[in-house]
Amino acid sequence: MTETVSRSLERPAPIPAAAGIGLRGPYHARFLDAQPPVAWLEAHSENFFAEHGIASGVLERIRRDYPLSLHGVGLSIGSIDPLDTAHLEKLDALIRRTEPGLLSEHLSWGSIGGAHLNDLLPLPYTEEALAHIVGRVEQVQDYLGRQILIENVSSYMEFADSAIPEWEFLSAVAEDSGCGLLLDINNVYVNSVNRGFEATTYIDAIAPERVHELHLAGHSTQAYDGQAVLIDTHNTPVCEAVWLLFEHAVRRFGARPTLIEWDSDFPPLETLLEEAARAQRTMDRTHELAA
Amino acid sequence: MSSLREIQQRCYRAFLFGEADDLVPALIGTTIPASAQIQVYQNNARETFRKALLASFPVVGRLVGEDCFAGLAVEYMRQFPSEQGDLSRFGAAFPDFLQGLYGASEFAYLPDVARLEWALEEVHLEPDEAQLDAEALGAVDPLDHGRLRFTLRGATRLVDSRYPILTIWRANQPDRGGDADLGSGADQVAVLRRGDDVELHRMDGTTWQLASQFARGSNLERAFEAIGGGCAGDPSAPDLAAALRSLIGLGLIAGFSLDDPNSQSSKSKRSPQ
Repeated sequence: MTETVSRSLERPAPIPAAAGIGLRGPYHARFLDAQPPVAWLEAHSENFFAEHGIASGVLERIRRDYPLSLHGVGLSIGSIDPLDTAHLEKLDALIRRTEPGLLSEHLSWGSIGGAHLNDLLPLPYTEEALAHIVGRVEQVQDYLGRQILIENVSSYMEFADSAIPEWEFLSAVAEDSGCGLLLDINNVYVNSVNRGFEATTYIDAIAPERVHELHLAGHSTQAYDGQAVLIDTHNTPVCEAVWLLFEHAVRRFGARPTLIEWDSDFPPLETLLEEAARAQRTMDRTHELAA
Repeated sequence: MSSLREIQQRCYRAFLFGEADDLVPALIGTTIPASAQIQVYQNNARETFRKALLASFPVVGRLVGEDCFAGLAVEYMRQFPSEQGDLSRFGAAFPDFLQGLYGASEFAYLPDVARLEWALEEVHLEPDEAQLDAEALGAVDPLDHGRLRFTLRGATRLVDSRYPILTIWRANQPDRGGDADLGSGADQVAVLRRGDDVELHRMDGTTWQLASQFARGSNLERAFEAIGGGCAGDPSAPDLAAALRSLIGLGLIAGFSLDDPNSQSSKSKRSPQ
């Protein structure tokens, strides 16, 4: 007689309202060798679509020790193309394997006619675009059977047809589709400088109960046609202006799961851990003041 | 007012192909001129696809140099636009793209180096199958050895070239100087995943032929006939038994089955030479 012993994996608790960091390839070995002290991790969904690939095995091992959030960069949810069901199937399978505490996508599009630009391209803020993306978010949530979060993106284009302020558009997407929001504080700042609006106006227009996660990242300044443009490059430390805006956001929203994101020119892991610690101190301090 | 579809089509042509004339009127430039807004995304596209290709083909990148590689990436992204929201398959046509450009030139080794690098990419994404059950194999009656049909591990690629691609690949790893003798002969390479690592092994001609026969689905008898194993004791004959041991030793064999003894191809039963 064969005896089968099944052991259910002890899954860490859902994503805490604390600071986490983005899990990227250069840091995998550190997380496999030890368990650096951080409250939670976020991974890019698409990097782990190959179920039996090396990266998926690594993620599943790291997942045993940390709460995990999945962050999609390729679903192209705002595209006029039909929803990519093959992509959704892979995402659904990944969700089943890793049981993420939070799941997010972007307020953007990336493909047309089946060809992908693999970028987070902004939508014009029109009634047509709003109706389109609300329908798409609903489709995705229905397919996956769970709420997703939608993240605001850095937008370097200003469409002549845009008739709705970005913050109202984002709020309406959440209100009409029932999704949550992942508010990227650096993207708010980048857009405010590039397009000339007050960043706090944006933050103050977002309903706190809709915000389930915050992102913090670095940007850089590049020259295009002789014009300085802030670009959301994720390869520099969070700047002081964004830290200030984060403090403002925490005062409005309260403590939220907050992610430190680096995606290139990766520094030592300690740099991310220090930035996460600073985000945590900001949340703790703001909480104490409010108490 | 432009429809969402029109906007997205215009963006695509502008960002990928530089055809921005009909996108400009759709933009306003409160703080950043429309031309600069478009350039940001044109630059994003070039950088996204260049970095994706370079991540898959670092050795080709080093061989051709940064500027040339950036130019190749622009041409490639236009000829072979990304078909998925994730970039894992984006480089699949790059070796053939290089073949078209360099196949008849003094740089004809580049497409083969790219094939080797793409093989590495692919096996990263494939399952790490169980090793061959040596005990079960040892239990097969020697008279039945001709009917053995070996299956190669899924996470395996066999890459052959007229050029010393493995030598070139090794010489162009980040910690190496890049010097490789292009005249040092042909390379036949097995790329396989083992655990969290991917290994590259140079194979001798006989081992290569045997692996290729197994990859085509030949059983042992048919493989030996195709390679021309000769008679036992003939010193000039390919050493097929050694080749088989080598394949097993490398971990390239995932499993085996026995062909039906009544099938046409399996009437003769002989053991490896």
